[in-house]
Amino acid sequence: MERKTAIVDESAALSMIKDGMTIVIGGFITAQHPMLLIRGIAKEKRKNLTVIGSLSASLEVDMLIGYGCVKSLVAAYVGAEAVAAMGPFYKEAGEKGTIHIWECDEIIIAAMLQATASAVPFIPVRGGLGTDLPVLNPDLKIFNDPVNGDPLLAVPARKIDIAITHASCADCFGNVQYKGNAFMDQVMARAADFTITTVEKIISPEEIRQNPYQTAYVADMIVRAPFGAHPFSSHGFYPEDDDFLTEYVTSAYLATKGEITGWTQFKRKYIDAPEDHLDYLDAVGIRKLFSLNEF
Amino acid sequence: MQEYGIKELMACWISRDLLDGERVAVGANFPIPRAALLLSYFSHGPNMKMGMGSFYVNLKDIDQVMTLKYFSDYRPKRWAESAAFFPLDLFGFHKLDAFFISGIQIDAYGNTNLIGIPGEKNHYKFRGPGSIGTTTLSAVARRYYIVTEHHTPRIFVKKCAIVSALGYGDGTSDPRKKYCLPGKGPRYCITPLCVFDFSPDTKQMRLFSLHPGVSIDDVIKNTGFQPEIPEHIPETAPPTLKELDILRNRVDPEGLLR
Repeated sequence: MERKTAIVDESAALSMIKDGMTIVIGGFITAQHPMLLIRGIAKEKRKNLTVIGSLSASLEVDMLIGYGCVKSLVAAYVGAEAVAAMGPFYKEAGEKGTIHIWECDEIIIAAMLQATASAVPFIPVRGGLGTDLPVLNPDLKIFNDPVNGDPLLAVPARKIDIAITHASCADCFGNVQYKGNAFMDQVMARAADFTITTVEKIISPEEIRQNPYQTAYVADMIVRAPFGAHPFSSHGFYPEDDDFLTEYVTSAYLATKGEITGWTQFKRKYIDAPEDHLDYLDAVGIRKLFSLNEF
Repeated sequence: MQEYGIKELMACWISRDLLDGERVAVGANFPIPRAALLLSYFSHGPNMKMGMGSFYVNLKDIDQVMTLKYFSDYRPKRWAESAAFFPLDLFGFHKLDAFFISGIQIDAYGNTNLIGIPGEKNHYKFRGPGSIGTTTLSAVARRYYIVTEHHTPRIFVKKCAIVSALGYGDGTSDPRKKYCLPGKGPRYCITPLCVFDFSPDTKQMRLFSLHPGVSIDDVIKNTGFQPEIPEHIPETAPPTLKELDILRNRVDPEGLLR
């Protein structure tokens, strides 16, 4: 019998993500979000998702909120720093109360993922005591440490259906390697029931075995996606696309103020019209993509 | 006298309080502390453990560093000795000597709010960016600085509507002792008008120094609570020529702080 390949096409990967699921998204702020899958989720209008962001998340989460896919959000930040202190749709949803925000900070999410990955009911943290986080988020419970008696905050584990991540490369058996920082992706993959990873390059199993220490985790599905993190950075491949992020923020911000023309155009051009990832890259343009360089 | 921007003064002042050998990191989108840290490294801190984005870097003999627009930019890798390990570093923040926190609200006892201003039911009148890493860092980092680019009564409030990072609670008891937090809390609050410290007895913000040209009245008018005003208030020492030289030529060539 042959060993099965983990490489699938976009639609097979997207069909795994169903309404009402809890998903965790890899990367960190403006780096390495699996945008091929994010756009797919938006375009196919998945509903009632619980989305766990990459500790501090960025406009990938904002886009999902803008498309109405998100019921509940776990994120310590949603924005693009100087380009947008806050994601426009995230801010609007917080102010209108249209999504539930599970209040936390980065370390609390990390503890939650670690607890799930370790199959323990909770992991204790110190941050949050004396703040309003346990008031706003009753899942965070204060208890007394049985060893020293200190008050601590218990961060509960949580069942996660699918982790979606973007990495540098993988082989056909789902062995995933990073040229740069893998951020929390490894813990996310260990915590989730199922992992789908998009990669810049597919490499041979022999190449993976040259440095098995570099393998961060084994994904259940691999989708080939050069420039798959665009407009975010992919460590070792390309930095953020400032112009594109600005275009998103400008049109999304105006949409929250009732001027939807720009946002409608943006959606059609980059999300709704493209049939697949290559169509999207066409829409962005080869000159733009190849201009994204380190120097 | 050399002219300087108020943000340059704030960065220079902070840099003097960061010591050689210390381990210091700066969060996302925070240009003043970032410049302060680099300035202290170049001026007196060759042994500092330098957080730069998601790396620890060695900048010896580096004439000029790049401005980082995004925290997770990978390009400082060219100077990096190590990268932030996730998630271990997230649980190791207690080894940081200093960190920096801002807020959409900052109150009299150094508590800060990045979550939002609540409205009715589950709605926010103003939704803030979120706690980022400040909830934990304020609890465990050995000390931190509150830094804000705006000094207004809307930001400096009597009591934060929501506390996302604990300073000194309500000042009536020592919440850091009560909650067994390893961090000692905010040391200074640096604004475009002045520097506050915290009275050791009341844990309330106390006027520490006034920036050149700023009066006590300016501070009182722009602060939504009554800070403690000691009898003698010095002027914040302005940037020296050496500091400005490093700042403008090596740290901030693009002039973000001008």
